[in-house]
Amino acid sequence: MRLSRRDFLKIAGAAGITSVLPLDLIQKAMAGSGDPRVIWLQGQSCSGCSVSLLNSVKTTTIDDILLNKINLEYHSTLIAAAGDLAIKGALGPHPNLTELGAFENQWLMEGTELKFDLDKDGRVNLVDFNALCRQGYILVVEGSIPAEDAACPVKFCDIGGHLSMEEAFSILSQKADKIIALGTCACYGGIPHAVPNPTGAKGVSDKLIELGYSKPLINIPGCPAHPDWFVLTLLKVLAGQTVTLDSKGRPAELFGDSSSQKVHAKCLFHPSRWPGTEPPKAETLGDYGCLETLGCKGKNTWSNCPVLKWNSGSPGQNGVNWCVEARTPCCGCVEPDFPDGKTPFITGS
Amino acid sequence: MATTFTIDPVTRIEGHLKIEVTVDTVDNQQQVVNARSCGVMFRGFEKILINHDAFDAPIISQRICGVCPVSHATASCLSLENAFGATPPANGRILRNLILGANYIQSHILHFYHLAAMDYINTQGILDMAPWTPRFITPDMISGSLAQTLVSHYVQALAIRRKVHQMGALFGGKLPHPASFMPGGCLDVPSTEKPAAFRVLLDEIKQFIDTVFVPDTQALKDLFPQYSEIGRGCGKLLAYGVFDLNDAGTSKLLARGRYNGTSIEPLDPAVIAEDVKYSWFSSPSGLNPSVGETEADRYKEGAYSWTKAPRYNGQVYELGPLARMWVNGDYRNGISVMDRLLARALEAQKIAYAMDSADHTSGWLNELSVGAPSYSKPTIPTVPNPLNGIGLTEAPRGALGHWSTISAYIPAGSTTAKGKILRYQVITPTS
Repeated sequence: MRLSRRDFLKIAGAAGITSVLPLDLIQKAMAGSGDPRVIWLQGQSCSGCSVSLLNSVKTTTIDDILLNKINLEYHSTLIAAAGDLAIKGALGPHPNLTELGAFENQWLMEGTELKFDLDKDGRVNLVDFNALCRQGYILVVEGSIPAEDAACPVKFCDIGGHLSMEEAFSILSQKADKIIALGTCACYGGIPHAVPNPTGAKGVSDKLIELGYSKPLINIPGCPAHPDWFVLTLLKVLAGQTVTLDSKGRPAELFGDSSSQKVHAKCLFHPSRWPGTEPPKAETLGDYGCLETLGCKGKNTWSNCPVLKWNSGSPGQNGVNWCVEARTPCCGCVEPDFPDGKTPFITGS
Repeated sequence: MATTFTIDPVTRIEGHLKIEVTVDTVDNQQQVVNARSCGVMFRGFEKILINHDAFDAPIISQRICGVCPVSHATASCLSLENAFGATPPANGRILRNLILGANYIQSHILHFYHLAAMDYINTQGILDMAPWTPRFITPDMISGSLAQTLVSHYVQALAIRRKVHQMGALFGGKLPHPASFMPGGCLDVPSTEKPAAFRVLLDEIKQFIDTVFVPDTQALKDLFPQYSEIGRGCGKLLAYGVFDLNDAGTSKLLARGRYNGTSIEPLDPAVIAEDVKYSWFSSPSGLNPSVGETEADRYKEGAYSWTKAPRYNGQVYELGPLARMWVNGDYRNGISVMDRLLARALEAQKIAYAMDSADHTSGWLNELSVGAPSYSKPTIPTVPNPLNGIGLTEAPRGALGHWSTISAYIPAGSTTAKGKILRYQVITPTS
């Protein structure tokens, strides 16, 4: 359930909740255009999926998304704020624990008990505040989540404001309407998860199992994720449409389980595209032709890269290139076993 | 009384950073008495790469950074080529320059408009929504019509940096995280159509750099004279150099060297070392990366960062566009906050015109040879064992090095030499 800003102010005003919380603070908490809220957490990421999203144009552009489609409340690479302001989110006085408890009990109770992490000055930080007040957000996770040692003050991944990625994910995932794991690291652990997994990194679905949470989750893998995969899925979610998932939790229309959805089946060198003749085969790296004997993972990778391609130049247009067209074997970056199950990437002579 | 200020997180950067600054009054003067730059995220790429096939390295190591993956792929290829004694064909060198150059330009535009500019523009009344609010506003920020113009350039720059990535993907396969970088050259080839498509995009990008990007940074420098006085840094500048102009790599668009505060001196990679006294690593401090180690230790006393501290002959040097342009003699107006912004924009311009001259008659695009190979797969030598390689290049933010140690052996029943990664060490510019 999500309260709109107007609904909230109406009931808050009628019930005199302003005596519990300063009205300007409530307004700040509920600020924004009323667009769907998106909180974007970067764990063990390289920011490549964020950079890739900036390349969006086929379906729509990033400025259209930010200005007209969503309210991107937290994204450490893009937000104007920094430090305490970024984390605490409100310039005015912060509510204390009692006030927040009363606030939750009266207006936003959903039957689950929230735990607050008070930072060192005893105030409630933005993450808690979001979890409490801001119902109905989409949580986007970029990067994997390492396993922290509760007894150790040093963390493998801090997101700021005395919060580790693990803590922030635990708090924010509880109250999210929906979670989108963006990129192979967030979906399945990706490279940080690779042997010897120095930090105990996990993807979102494994972390949710560990936490015992059941949440609607969409995996959009890729290294990086293709901007259109994210934008198409996000727009469907915003429109309230059902996103059918494949066996790996990915949008089935973009990835899928059938043999016809393999990269190999869609590839320009698939025999079906060479009627009456054999497709050319690359004998050595750098040659033009099918790269199957040189390490291509297209037969064990399900994605629409060969059709959609990458780095489109204008609305409605497919991209200008993709790995195999650039004479490079597909490295299987959208699969749960990337990279360990896909290496060596290059084989043969 | 000493006061410690903490900025956590530092935003609008790639990665996870915390800054702690302690200010105190010493000898009746208020001053910074301690400053800590804390990298607060660890993944362990240098451990993950061990035992991988050498040819996996460019693909895995470029995932260190989604903003400068092309630089990591370049450093990795150079390191392995150095270990193998391999030289890519001219087409391969030039294609790699074009893809790398494209990524420089997109990164410089992203840095200025989408990361840095927010610190100078009052966007109230223009962008009153997340992610541009909440934010800090100071009285001296640019407001009014100029602020509106700069915000419109912020939006325009989103489209231009996308086109720069599209341009690089013509030969890279995709961006970020290009496919075609392999030791031995570039796997993609210059068809007749692709250089022409590259040129069409580049002309639009050049126009943006000339008429928007460079004038905006110059305007900012003029509007904030105080920022040409602060941020002087350590006064020493270092560049590994980048964009090889010949196959031997002895000539570069931006030269290798260092400025010690008075003169330009040559660079000796042997005296580069990484200190880890204050880093969460149990490895010895002060190792040259050719013998470097990365053993995480979260319980280490006195440590405060996951980044190591690189030193040149024990000294701190500044890296980045200003360092490159200074060492190369292209920009020597000063070292400050504003000089860094202006040097970055001017470097983007220099790279754009090196790709293709204004009259389209010279530059890297013209040097491509259609039909000639761009890739030659290296044969991995069997001696010496192990093979050591150094790959020095530049990321948009500064000098980047990959040091690799590869096993050289002939597996039983095979005549093909194969190499496994025994050691892999990276020094990123941000550390």
